[in-house]
Amino acid sequence: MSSQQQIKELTTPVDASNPASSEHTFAIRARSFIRAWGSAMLLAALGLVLWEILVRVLDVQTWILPPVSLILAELVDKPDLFLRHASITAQEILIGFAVSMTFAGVMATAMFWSRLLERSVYPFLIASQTIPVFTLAPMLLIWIGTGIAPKIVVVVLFTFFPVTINLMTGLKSVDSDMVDMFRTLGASRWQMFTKLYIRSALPYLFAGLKVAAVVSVIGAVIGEWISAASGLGWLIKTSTPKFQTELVFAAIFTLSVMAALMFIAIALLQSRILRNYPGSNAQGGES
Amino acid sequence: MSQTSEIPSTVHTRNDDSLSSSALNTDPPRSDAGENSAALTRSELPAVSVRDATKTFVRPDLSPIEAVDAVSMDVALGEFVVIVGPSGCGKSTLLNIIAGLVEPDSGTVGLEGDNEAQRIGRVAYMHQIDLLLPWRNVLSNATLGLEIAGIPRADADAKATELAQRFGIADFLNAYPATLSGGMRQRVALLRAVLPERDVLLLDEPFKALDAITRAELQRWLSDVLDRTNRATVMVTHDVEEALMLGDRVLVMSPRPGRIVLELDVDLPRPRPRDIVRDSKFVDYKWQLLSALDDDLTR
Repeated sequence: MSSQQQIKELTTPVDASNPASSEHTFAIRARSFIRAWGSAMLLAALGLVLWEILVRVLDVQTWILPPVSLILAELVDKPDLFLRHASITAQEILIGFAVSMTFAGVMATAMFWSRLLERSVYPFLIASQTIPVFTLAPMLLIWIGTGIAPKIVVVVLFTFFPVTINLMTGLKSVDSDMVDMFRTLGASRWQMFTKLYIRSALPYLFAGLKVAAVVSVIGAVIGEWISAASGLGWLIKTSTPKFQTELVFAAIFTLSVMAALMFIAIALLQSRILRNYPGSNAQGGES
Repeated sequence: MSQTSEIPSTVHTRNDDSLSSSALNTDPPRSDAGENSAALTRSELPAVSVRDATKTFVRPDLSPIEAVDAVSMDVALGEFVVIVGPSGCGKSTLLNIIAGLVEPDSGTVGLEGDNEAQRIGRVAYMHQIDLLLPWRNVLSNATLGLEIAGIPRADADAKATELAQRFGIADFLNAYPATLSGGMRQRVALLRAVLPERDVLLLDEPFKALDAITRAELQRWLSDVLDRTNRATVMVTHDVEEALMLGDRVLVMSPRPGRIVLELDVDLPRPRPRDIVRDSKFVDYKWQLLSALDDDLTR
C-alpha cells in the first residue's frame, strides 16, 4: 500500500501535495485528456464518416479509393501481415533515430567546445539539407547494399538535422547572466556544460526530436521504396501496381499511427522531464 | 574606515591565531605597501581594495561608454558598504569588476591586499534577478555553489537546511522556483550566494524587482541575516533609504562615467528599526546623500 502510494507520488507529481483517490485522479485526467484532444478526435471521426459516405454515395471504385470500412477490415483481417512489416519499419526508424540522436549530441557538443569546429562544420550542416535525399537513396543501394543499413542511413539523413540544429540553438541560447552566476560560483566549463547548458537546451532538443519523430517515418519509407523485401514502405510500393488499394491505405494508416506514437512518446517524455521549466503547463508543487 | 561594533570583535577573533605579530595590529597599511603585506595576517588588509579602477566599453559603430572612472574603495571584513547612484552610473560594472567578471582597463582590484588574486570563484555575487535554475528545487538551487565546489551532497544539504530556517525558506526546500513569490526567490538566491562562505559578498540591487512592502521586509531581514556574519559586503542600490537602513558606509556615485563623489560613515545603532527613518541623524544623512546625488545631476 505504502509503496503504491509512493509510486503514485512519483508518477503524478501534480497531485503529490494533495493525494486524491485513484478514481478521482482518473476522472481529472480523463477530463483534461478530452479537453486537450476531444475536438481533434471529433474532427477526425467526422472526416472518416464523410469519406465513407461520399465513397458510397458517389459509387467510387474500390481500387481508386476504398471506403474507410474496407481499409479497417483489411487491418483487422491481416493483423500478422501489418504487424510483421510494421515491426521491420519500426526497427529502421528506432535505430535510425538513436543513431541520429547520438550523432546530433556529439556534433552539438563538439561545436559547443570548439568555435573553430563550429565555424568550419556549421555551413556544411546547412548545405547538407539542400541535397535531395530522394535522389541520394538509390546511391546508398550501390554503396552499402540492400540490407537494413541503407534504410537506417536515410532515416538518419532525415532526422539528424532538426535534432542537431535545435540542440545547437539551445546550447547557444543560454542566458548570459546565468553564465556569469555560474562563473562567480567558480564553475568549470565542464560543470557549466552539464549543469547549465545541457539543461537549458533541453526544451530545444525536444522541439527537434518532435520534428525528427515525424520525418523519421518518411525516411524509413523512402529507404524501403528504393530497395527492400519487407516493411510498410515496401508493402505500399508492391501493392499499388496490383491495385490493392485498401492494403495501401491500411499500410499508410499504420505508418501514420507509428509516427503519431513516436510523437506522443516524445511529448510525454518532454512533459515529464521539463515539468518545472517556465512555460510548462504542469509545474511541480502546483496545487 | 567605519566605526561599527562588528569591526573590533572581527579583528580580534581573526587575530587569535596570530598573536605573535601583535605589533602589526595597529593601523593596517594600505595595499600599496606591497612588500609588507606578506607578513600581515589577512584580517588586517581590506577584504577588497579597488584602486583607480577605470572601465570603458567599446562598442562597434557606437560611441564608447565610460562606465567607471578612477574608482577607489576599500571594504573591510565585517563591513557593509553601500554604493548609491543614479541608474546606469556604472554601479553594476563596478561590482562586475570586483567579482572578476570584468577586468578594469586600468587600476587594480585586490583581495586581502593581493592585486593578482584570482577573483572569480572567490567573491559571492547576488544579481538583481534571482537567476534560479527552474529545473532545480529550492534546496538544490541553494546548494549549487557547494555542489560546484565539490562538497558532498549530504553535507551541502545539511548546511543549506540549517541556514534555510534563518532565511525563512525552510518550508519551501522542495518547491520549484516557478511556484515561489519574488521575495522568496530572492531569499533562495541569497542563500545560494552565501552558502559557499566567501569573504566578500556583492549584492546588485537585490530588491529592485520587488514591491515596496516586500522590499522593506527583506531589507530588515537582510540586515538580520547578515549582521551576524563576518564578511565584507558591498551592495549597490539607487534607494537612499535602503542604503542607510543597511550600510555601515555609503558611497555616492556620479552619473556616467561613475566616480565616487561622497563617502559617508553611517553612525546609527543596529539593528535599525523601521522608524529610524524619523531619527534626526538618519534624516540628516539622507539629506547629505540626496544633495550629493542631486548636485551631480544638475551639474
